[in-house]
Amino acid sequence: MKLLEVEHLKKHFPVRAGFFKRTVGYYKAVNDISFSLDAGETFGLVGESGCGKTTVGKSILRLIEPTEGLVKIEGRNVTAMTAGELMRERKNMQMIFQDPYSSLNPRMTVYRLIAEPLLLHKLVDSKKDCEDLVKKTLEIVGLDIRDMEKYPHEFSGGQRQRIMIARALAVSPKLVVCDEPVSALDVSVQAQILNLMKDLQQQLGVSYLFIAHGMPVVAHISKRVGVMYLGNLVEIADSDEIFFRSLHPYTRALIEAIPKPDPNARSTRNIVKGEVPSLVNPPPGCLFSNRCPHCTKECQEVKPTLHEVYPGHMLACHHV
Amino acid sequence: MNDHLLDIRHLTSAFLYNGKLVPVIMDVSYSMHSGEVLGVVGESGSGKSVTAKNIMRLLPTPSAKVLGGEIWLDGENMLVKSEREMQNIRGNKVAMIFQEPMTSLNPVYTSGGQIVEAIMLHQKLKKNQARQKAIEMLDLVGIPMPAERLKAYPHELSGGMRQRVMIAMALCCNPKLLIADEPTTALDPTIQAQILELLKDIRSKIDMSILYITHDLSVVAELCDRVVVMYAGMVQEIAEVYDLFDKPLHPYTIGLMQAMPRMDLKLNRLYNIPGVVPHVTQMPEGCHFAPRCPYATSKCQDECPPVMDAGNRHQVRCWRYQEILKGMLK
Repeated sequence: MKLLEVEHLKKHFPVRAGFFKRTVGYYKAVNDISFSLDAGETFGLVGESGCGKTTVGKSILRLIEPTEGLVKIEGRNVTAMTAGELMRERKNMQMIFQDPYSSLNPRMTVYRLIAEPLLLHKLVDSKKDCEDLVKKTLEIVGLDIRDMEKYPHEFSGGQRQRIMIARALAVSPKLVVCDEPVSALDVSVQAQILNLMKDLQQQLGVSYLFIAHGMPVVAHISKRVGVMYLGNLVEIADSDEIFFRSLHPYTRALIEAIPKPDPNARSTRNIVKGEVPSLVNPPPGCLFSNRCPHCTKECQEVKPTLHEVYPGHMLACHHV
Repeated sequence: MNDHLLDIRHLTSAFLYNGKLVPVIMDVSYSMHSGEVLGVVGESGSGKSVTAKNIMRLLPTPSAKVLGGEIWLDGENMLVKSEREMQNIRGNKVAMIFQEPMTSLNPVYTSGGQIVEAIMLHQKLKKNQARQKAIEMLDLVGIPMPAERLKAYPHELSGGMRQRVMIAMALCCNPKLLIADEPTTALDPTIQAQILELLKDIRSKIDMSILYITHDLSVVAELCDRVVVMYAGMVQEIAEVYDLFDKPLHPYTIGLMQAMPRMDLKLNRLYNIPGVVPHVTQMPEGCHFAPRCPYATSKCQDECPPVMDAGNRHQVRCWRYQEILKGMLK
C-alpha cells in the first residue's frame, strides 16, 4: 500500500478587494495535484517561488485547509479527519522548515524543544523515559547530548537544522514533509544534512516529501521527482529520468538554468525568457505557453493534462 | 603603481566583539586587472563580504576597524580617504549591488526616482536629462517598457526586475568596478540564469570589472575569469577559473567541489567536510582549515601557512599543496 496518496489536491486563496473586502477572484496556488509516495521513499517537489510547492506540503499536513481533494496516509483519509483524529495522526506526519533561525522557539532549551512533541503525543511515561528518548534522538542526528540545556541561538545553522530534524523524528513519524531544509545552509553543511537525512531514512524507514527549488539537491535525494509550475505538476518521473530524459520544456529550462561547476561547460545556454505570470488571471491554455519556445496555438487554448507517456513518466504537455 | 585596477594588500580588519577587537579577515591580498571578472567564493563567515565592504568603506566606524594593510583602487589608497572623498568615489568609481534588492531599494520612492537621484547626485545633469539616462539604463539591463517602469514602486516589481533596477542604478555613473555581493542568491534558478546572462552581456558592452562575491562555485565557473577562495577570514587559494576547476590545490576547495550535489553524477552520498566553520573568537592557531582537513599534520595545527606560489598564477595557502599537486594525497 502507498504511504501517502494525494488526489486532485486544490488550494484556492480568495483575493479580496474594496471596502467590504469582497472576494473578487481566487489565487489558484495549488490546482489539481495528484501523486503518491511509497514507504521509505523520497518524493521531491521542485519548482520556483510561487509555484505552490510549500502550499502542497502544508495542505497535506492540514496546516492549511485544502479547498478540494483527498490526502490519504496509509489509506486513512486525512482531509476528512476531525481535529482530535488529526492531532493523533500528526504523530505520523511531521514537518521540517527552511529557516532554522525562525522555526525554533528561542526561549526553549534543546531538551524542551525535543521533549515537547513526545509529551504532546504521550509517548513517554516518566521523566526518565523522556530524557532517554531525547538523548537517543540527539545522538542519531549527530548532536552532543551535553548541549541539551543550550538554547537555539548558541548553535550554528547546520546544528539548528539538526535540532529541527531531531524534533521531527522524535515521535517516529512515517512521513516527514521537508520544506527547503537545506536552502539556507552553506554548501559543506548542506552536504552533511543531506547525508544525515539519507542515513536516517535507511535506519528508520521514514519517507520524505522533499520540497526545494534547486534541481540538483532534489534530484540527489529523491527517488521520484515532481516538477511544479504555477500550481500544477507538469512532469513526474524518476530522478535520473528527469535529468537525462526530461520532456517538459519547463523542466528542461530549470535544468539548463543551473550553472555547471565546470568552466568548460560554460555555454550558450538556452535561457528561458520572461517571468512567471500572475495566478489571479492565468492564461487559458498551458500556463507555461507564454514562456515556452515550442508554444503553438493549441498550447494557448487547451490546457494539457498530466498523462503517462512512458511507464512511470507523467507529463503535461501537448508536444512530446 | 602597477596596472592593477584593484589591489588589496595584506588587509586585516576587525570587529568589536564584547569590548574587544576580534580580527575577522586576516592578511587578505588579491588584485584584479581592469576588465576582469574576479569571483570571491566562500561560505558564510569567510570574510568575503567584509573585504568588499572595506573597499567601499561601508563598515560602521567605531565597531569595525582596519588593523593593517592597504586597498589600492585605480592608483589611490582607499583607506586614507575622508568620508567626503569616499562619497565621490562610491558610485563614480566603484558601485555595489547586494543580495536582497527589496531591502536595498527604498520602498516609498519609485524605482525610477531612485535612479534619477543617483544620476543627479553624481553627474551634472538636469532632471529630464537624468530621466532620459535612467530610461537608457533600464533598457540596457533588459527591462521592457523602461519609460513606464520608471514610475513603478519596488514592491510592484518582481525579484528579478528589482535586481535589474539595482544593476541599472549601479551602472548609471559608469563605475570602473562593480562589486556584486551574492546578487542572484535570493533569486529563482531561471531568473538567476537571466541575471548572469545580463552581467555577461553588460561586460561585453561596457569596459568594467566585476568583483563577484558568491558561495556558489557553479556561478563562478559560469561567469568569472579568476577565482579567490576564502575560508575563515583568509584567502586560501587564487587561480584562473579553468586552473581551479582542473586542479584545485587547497583541501577546502577540493572539499567544496565534492560537497556539491550534481545532476550528471549520481552519488549515493556526498562528500562532506566534517565539522563547522570556527567562530571568529576561536580561530585555530595554525591553518584555519586544519581542524576540518583530512590531510592536516601537526605542522598544520601549529603554524599557519603563508600564501605560496604554485606557478601559473596559481596561489595556495597550504603546507601540503605540492603533494596534492602530484596526486600523492588521496
